[in-house]
Amino acid sequence: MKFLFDIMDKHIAPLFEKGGKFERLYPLFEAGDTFARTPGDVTPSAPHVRDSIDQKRLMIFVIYALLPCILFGIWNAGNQFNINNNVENATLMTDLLRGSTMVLPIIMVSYMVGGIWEVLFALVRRHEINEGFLVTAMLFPLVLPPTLPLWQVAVGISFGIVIGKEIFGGVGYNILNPALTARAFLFFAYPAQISGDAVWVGTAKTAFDNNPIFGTVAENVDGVTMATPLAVAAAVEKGGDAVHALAEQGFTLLNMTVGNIPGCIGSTSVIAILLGMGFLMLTGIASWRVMVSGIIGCAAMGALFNVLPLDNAFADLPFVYHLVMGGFLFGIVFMATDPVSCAATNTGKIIYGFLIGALTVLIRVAKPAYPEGAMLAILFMNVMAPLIDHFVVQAHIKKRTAYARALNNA
Amino acid sequence: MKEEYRKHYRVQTGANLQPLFEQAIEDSPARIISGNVLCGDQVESNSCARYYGSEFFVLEEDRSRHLMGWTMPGLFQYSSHRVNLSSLMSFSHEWKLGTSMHGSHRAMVVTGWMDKYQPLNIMTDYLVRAALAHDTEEMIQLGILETDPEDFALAAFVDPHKTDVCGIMKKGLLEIEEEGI
Repeated sequence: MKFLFDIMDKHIAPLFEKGGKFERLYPLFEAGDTFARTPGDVTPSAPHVRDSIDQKRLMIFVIYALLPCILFGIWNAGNQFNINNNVENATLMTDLLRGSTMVLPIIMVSYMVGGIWEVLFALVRRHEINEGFLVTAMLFPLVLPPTLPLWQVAVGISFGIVIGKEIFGGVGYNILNPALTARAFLFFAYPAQISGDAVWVGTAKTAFDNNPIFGTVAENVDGVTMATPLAVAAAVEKGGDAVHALAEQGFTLLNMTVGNIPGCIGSTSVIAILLGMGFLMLTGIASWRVMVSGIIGCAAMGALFNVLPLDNAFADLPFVYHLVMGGFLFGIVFMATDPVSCAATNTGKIIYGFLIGALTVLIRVAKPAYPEGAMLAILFMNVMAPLIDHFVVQAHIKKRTAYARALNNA
Repeated sequence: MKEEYRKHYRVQTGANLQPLFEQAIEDSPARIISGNVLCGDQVESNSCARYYGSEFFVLEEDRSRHLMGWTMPGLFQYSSHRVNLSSLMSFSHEWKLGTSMHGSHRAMVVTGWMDKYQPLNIMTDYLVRAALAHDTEEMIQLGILETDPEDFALAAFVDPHKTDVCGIMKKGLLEIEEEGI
């Protein structure tokens, strides 16, 4: 290993440094070099010692927190396929294999296309390749249905990275969460492939899908229509009982918590998300203020609708359902806590999280045409976050001046 | 630095300290700091005892590079955040700190971490941004005049983006002085 690193330091590094042949490609070299080993820089000035954390470690820990969701998502995509296509002799293994063939290509396309944009912008702008993209390109596939065409994944992540992030100046400067920007773009540009009832469960379309390794597909079906819990609840007519309607379709609190239901790849399982949330809280990487106040906000708004005498079946749905249905929990744990687009002050984070939770329920109940209220709520609050911060900072300044005045008068 | 040389010395102001450093410092490249590790100045080994400097720190100039530092358990590296296995160790554990940056400079992403290590009633994130934006008015409103660059040393220590917070604050204060506000 040391031998390889010596070659790298002596012969390869000078090519990329200032005056070298490939000077323009330095960000690419730097990314690879610091991926292999931490940089050997020393502190230029006081403080002379630094903490051993860096942004690479920070971002990779978010990926670790996502692992339960990724693994469960792969299994669930395969499991839903096998159940709904009447696959014989389906086992845990075939579920995982089948799920991998559906989910892994989406993740790979997201990383490859997103990576190309990130590197391109880093080279043109001559700044380092930022690790934030690793998280964006992983979050995006997890909020997509497993049947999304790969070209749409590519178009979506391109929009998210370029319009959502790079035109503002890159990671650290963006206003909106890039992964959600990408999803919102697909949601409004190609609604047929990302919403509705026919996109959540895959069907065997090619000879590859009928490969017996994955289990035998008894009969090829054209398409499987499976509504998500949100769509079922939104479709209940006035005076109906939403809990009953959900139970009729097989959605109980238990299986919505476990997550073996049709839905976006990574956001169906409450248990997997809670594991990730626990990890994020334990390591202190994501803000607990956003997560906790978001969950409280969602529950409070749900409870308020329960109490209000509205003639709306969705509004009468017990508030616990709002917490486990759809992408809310995934959104509040992984999307809303994106440190760049969320509020920057501690008080601001509490307000920001609470409003995301409350708005999610409001959008779900008041505008059933957009069942995925969490996405729109988070994007809206991303835009509002600087305003919240402005008021918090002004309040802080006011308090400081009042204190200074009191000191002067004393 | 050799163990037996860690003690008090009685020296005359202006005395050359080179003989002492030569004996005390082991072979590895070392950095001599006049003053505190958090806010002192780096000095040469042939420097003299200053009137205003009563302590010296010697740190290892740590240019070592660790294999895949972004994912290793980090048992032997100190971190104030709970991202290393070392954070499970007891508070009294002694750490060897060098001058390594442990990472490269990045845009500011995480917010609120620096405030945890800011003893004054100051919003560090916003003050740093105001200073970077040369917004002297906002800097003053946020309380930069009550501070000294070294008040931000702990914030700079814990910052995962390796921002030069103390340097930025120093520049901000100089700017205010130049404008004569």
